[in-house]
Amino acid sequence: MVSEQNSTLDDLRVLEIAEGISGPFCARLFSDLGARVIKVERPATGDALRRSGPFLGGLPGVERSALFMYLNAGKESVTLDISQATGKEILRRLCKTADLVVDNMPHEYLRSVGFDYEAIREENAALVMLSIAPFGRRGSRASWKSHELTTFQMSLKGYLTPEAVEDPERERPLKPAGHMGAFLAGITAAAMAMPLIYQAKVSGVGACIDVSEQECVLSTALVQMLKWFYSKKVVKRSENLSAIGAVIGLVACADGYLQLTIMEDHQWESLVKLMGNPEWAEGDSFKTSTLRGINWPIIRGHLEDWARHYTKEEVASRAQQHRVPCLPVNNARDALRSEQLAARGFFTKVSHLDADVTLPRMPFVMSEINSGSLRRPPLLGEHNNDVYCGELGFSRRKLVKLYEAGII
Amino acid sequence: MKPALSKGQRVAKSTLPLEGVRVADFSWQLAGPIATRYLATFGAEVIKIESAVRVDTLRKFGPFPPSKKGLNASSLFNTLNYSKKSCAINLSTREGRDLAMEIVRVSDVVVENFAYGVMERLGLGYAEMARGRPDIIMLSLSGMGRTGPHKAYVAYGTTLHAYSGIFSNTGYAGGPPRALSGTWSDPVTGSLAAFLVAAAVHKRRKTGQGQYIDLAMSEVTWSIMPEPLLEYILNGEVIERTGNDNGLMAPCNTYACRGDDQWLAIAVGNDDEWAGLCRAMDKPDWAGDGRFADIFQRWKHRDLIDNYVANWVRGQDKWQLASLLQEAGVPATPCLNADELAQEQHLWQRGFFRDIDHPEVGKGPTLGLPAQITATTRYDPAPLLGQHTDEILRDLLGVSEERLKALSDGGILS
Repeated sequence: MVSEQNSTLDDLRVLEIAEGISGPFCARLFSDLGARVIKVERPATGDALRRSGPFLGGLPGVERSALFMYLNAGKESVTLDISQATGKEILRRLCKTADLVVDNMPHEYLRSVGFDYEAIREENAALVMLSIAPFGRRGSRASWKSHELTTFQMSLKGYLTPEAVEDPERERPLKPAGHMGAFLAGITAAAMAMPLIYQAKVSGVGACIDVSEQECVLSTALVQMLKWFYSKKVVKRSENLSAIGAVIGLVACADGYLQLTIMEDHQWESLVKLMGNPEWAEGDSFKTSTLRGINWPIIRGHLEDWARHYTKEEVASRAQQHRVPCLPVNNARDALRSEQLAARGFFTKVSHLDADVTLPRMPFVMSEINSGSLRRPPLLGEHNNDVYCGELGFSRRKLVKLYEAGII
Repeated sequence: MKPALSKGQRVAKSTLPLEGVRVADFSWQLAGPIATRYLATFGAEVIKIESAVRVDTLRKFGPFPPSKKGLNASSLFNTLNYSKKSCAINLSTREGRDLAMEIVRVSDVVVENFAYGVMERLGLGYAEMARGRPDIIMLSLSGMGRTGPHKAYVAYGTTLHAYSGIFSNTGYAGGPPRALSGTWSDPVTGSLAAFLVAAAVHKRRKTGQGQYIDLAMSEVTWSIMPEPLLEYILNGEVIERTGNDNGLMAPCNTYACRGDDQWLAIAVGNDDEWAGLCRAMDKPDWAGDGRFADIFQRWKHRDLIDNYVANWVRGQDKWQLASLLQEAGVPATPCLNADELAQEQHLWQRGFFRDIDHPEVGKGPTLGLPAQITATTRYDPAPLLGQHTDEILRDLLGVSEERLKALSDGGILS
C-alpha cells in the first residue's frame, strides 16, 4: 500500500496524550499533513475508544474498532503509565523533542501526575501545549464534569435543537447523534495551534492553548447569541425560522425528506416554475418573501402534495437545475451511494489486520497531494521499540523491565 | 511594491504569531470570513476585498444594535470580521479586477467562497493567480467542492446539514428527521480552513511552494459525523434516531425542571458517576440493585432510570440540581438560553465574551476565540466598508495620487 504522503507538516512532531474524539481528531489532522504523531496510550487497555463499535468483521477487540481506526490512522502508538514516577520521567523526555502536545485528559488527573505547562516548558521552551476540556482548564466552571450531551446543552445549541418545535414541553432539547461537539473542538484546536507552532519554530517561544469545547459549540450559535446581546431577544426552539422572511424547512417526499432554504425572490420563482406554475402559488399570500415566511406552513402543505410523487433525489436534482437551494436529507446509505462523494474519492480503502475497510478520508483536497489510500492505525504499543529503544536509547533489557513493571 | 513574505524570510521578534503574513480575502458571508478571522486575530494582515456594489450580505443582515443601521453596524458582520482591513474594489470592472490582482501579487494567501465559477469569470482563478504569484496559497470553500458532477450545486448551511447526515441523525425515537439549530457546516469548515492555511504557510516558509486547497463543506460536515457512516459500512445498518440516548449511558437525557421550558441535562458514564447520582437522589438502596449494577445493566434498564430521574427532577430548580449533582461528581448541566449564557461569568473571565469598541456603533460584546491563549492575539474592531482602501492602494501597491483619483472618480473604489 504505497501512497504519496502529504509533506506540508513533515518537519513536525506531535505528542498525543488524549483519548476519545477531540484530541485524537486534532492530532489526526496533523498526521494527515505529514506530521509524525506519537500517541501515548495506557498500558494494556489503551485509548478507551478502542472499545467503541462498530468493529471489523463484527468482532470486538482492541485492534478492531473502526471509529478508533478513523481517528488514529497514520499515527504511532506507545504505551506509558504516566501516573508512575518512571512513566512521568519518560513522558518528560518525549516532550523535549515535540513541537506540539495535545491533551484532553481530565485536569485533576494531569495535575496529579505533575503534567502541566509550567513544568513542561522548562524542558522545551518552544513547545506548544494544547489542552481541550469541556469548559476549559481555567475559570469558575473548569472543574465541572461533563460528557458530550451535557456540554452541548450548556452551549445554547442544545436549547435551540431541534428547530421549529410545536410543543416545547413535549419536544425536549436534543443533541444530534455522535460526537459533533468533540470533533468541532478538535478542528478548532488545530486551527489555533498551527499559528503558534509557526511562530514557535522561529522565535523558539512556545505557548499554551486552553480550548473550551463549550465555547467552540457556542460559537456556532453566534447569531442567536448576538440577538440577545443586541436586541435582547431570546430565540427559542419553537421559533418559526421562516419568520425572518424566507422559506426554510423540511418537506416530506416519496422516499424521505428534503430541505429547502429559499432566501431570494428568483429562487422562489424558479421553484414555482419547477412545479409547473400551480394555481395556488399565484395567491396573494405568497407574493413577498415576508408573506411566504409567515405562510410557510401552508406552503409546506402544497409542496408536500407535489413532492410526494417524486423521490428526494429527483426533486433535489431538478431543483438544482433551476438553481433552487434544495438538497435531500441524506443518511449514511445515501452518502455511500453519492456520485459526488465518489467522484471526489471521499471514501477510500485501508488495509488493517485481516480486512480492507472503507473509511472517509480527511475532508480536504490539497494540490500537493493525492488523497490516496489511508495509512492504517497503530496497534497498541506497536512503536514502543522504535521510540523507546530507537530514539530514547533504552536497551532491550530496560524495555522488558519497563513492560514487566507495567510502565509501558 | 512591498514584497510579501518570501521563502526563508524570518520575522524577527514577531509579537503576533502570523505577523508578516498577508491574506487577500475575497470571501463573504460565513465560512470564509470565519477562516480569515482566525488568521487576522493571530496577526495576519487580512485585506477584505469587498464592494458596496455587491456587498457582503451579512453587512445588511444584522442583528443591529438599537437605533443603529447601515452597512457598518451589523453585529454579525462585525463579529465575523474583527481585526481585518477593508479595501473597497468593484470587481465587476476591469480596473477593479486588475487592482485585485495587484493585491494578490503582494499577498501570501487568497481565500474565496463564491459560487462555482465566479472567480474564474472574474479572471481570478487559481491558474491566473499562480501566474502572477507562483507560490500563492489559495483556498476555496464551497458546498460541494470544486470538482465532481454536483460542483455547481447551490447550497446554504441548512441544506448542507440535511445533505451531510446531521438531520437524519437528529430526532426523537420513531420520529422524522429534525433540524439542528443555527450554523454548523460554516464554522466547522471555516475553522478547518484556518488550520490548513496556517499549515500551508508553514510549508511555504520551508520550501517556497504554494498550493491550492479545495474544501467542500459537505465533506467536512460528514467527516465529523463518522459514526453512522461506519455503522453502515461495517454492519450495513442505517442508525435509527434515538433522541438523546447514545446507546451506552443511562441516564443520558434532558429533563424538564421547574418553570417554562427549563431543562437539566444529565449523563452518567461510569460507576462512580452513578454512585454520585444515587447519593444526590438519596437512593442508597440502588447501590445494591442488580438492575443498575454496571453500565450494561443500567443501559438495559434505561427507560426505568429515565422515568425515576424525570420524576425526581420535575418541579426542582435546574441550577440547584446542577450544583448538587456536580458536587456529587455527576456530569449535569442546566440547558442554557442566550440570556443565561450572557450571565455566565466563566465565559467573560476567560475572554470568550469580550467587548470591542467600534468607531461607528461604540462599545459592545462579541465572541472571541474559543480558548485562552498565552501568546499575543488581537481584537481590533471590524473595518468600515472601504476603511483601508486608500492606505492599501497608496502604501502597499504604491498607486500614484493621479491614478487613485481616476480610480475613485471612475467608481472603481466603491
